[in-house]
Amino acid sequence: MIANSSSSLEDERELSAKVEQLMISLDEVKKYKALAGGVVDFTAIILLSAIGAIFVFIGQNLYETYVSYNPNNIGFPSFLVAVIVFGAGLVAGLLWVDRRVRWAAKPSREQWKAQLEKEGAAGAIGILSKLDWSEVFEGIRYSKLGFVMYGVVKIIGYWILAFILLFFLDGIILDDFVHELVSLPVVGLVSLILVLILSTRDLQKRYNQSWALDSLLWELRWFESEFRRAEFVRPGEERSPQ
Amino acid sequence: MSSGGQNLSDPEKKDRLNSGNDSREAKSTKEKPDLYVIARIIAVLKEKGSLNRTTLATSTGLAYNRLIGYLEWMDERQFIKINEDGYVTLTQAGMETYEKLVRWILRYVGKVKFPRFS
Repeated sequence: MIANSSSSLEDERELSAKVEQLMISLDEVKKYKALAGGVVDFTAIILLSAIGAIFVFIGQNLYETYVSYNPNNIGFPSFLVAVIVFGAGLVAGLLWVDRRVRWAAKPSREQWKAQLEKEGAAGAIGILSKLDWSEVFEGIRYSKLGFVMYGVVKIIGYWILAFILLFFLDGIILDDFVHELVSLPVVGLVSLILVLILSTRDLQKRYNQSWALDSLLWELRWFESEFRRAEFVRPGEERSPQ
Repeated sequence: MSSGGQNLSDPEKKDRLNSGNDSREAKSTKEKPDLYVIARIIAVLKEKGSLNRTTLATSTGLAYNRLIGYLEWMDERQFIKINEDGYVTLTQAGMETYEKLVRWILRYVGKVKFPRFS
């Protein structure tokens, strides 16, 4: 049996570690790609919640006006129910997308981890040579789009929720106690500014991640072009040119 | 894990290797060998020493015919030795080639900067 030199064992371990790093990054990409798929679901849930909230609000007002009129009713419950309906939809949408994202990379992670643990450097070579690079690059581009779109839809969702809340505060507190009513565009603008301020960290993170995805795309493009030349060449022989 | 025995001459080796072999498999191996398959064969031989071809096929999880095609390719390049009993042994050249490939890939993959996703 031919003995391994300690440096070659170290190289093999390092290669496995590097490929593990690569696969972790690609799993992140898969998660972001799942976000792209989740954007459609999330938008649908948000829209349905908004429609539901409007129906509840109008329905309850109609009911109170025509069926059980109470002059002392200040409209609190209908707004509250609208907020609850939309808020619940928003939370359900976020949880739904979160679930999709968490499950997106799980099967692949189990597979490559088992391969690396079982086969070491040979497994690492196997993972690299079996990667569908065009799919990887497409996945990165798609995940970037999904990541940005999900951020935009989430901000819109928060904006609608903030708008309903401020509209409620405007209608109940200002109108009833100060006898002043702020116009709808102003409520909309204030709620948008509020949401943008509260989401600053999330926006910053999205901006950084989007750059990270770009950088990963370029790094992997370069690596793939080099890896195409990988072959078993006897020591002393030259590798064939690309 | 025994090896021993004399090395076979080239025509004998080819006869042995090609016995019951799918020649198309061997041809495709010659044109473009799968790095992973060769790495697996070398890794198993490194770990277990000499093995007969059936055991090697089982250990590497390869179909026998496919393994034979790859062994022929490796034998031509003197990465392995096959004795008259059909036992396959990794040569120094095979070991060094594998180490060279690992280092080569590491040199490139080591340069890739993986962004931190928080």
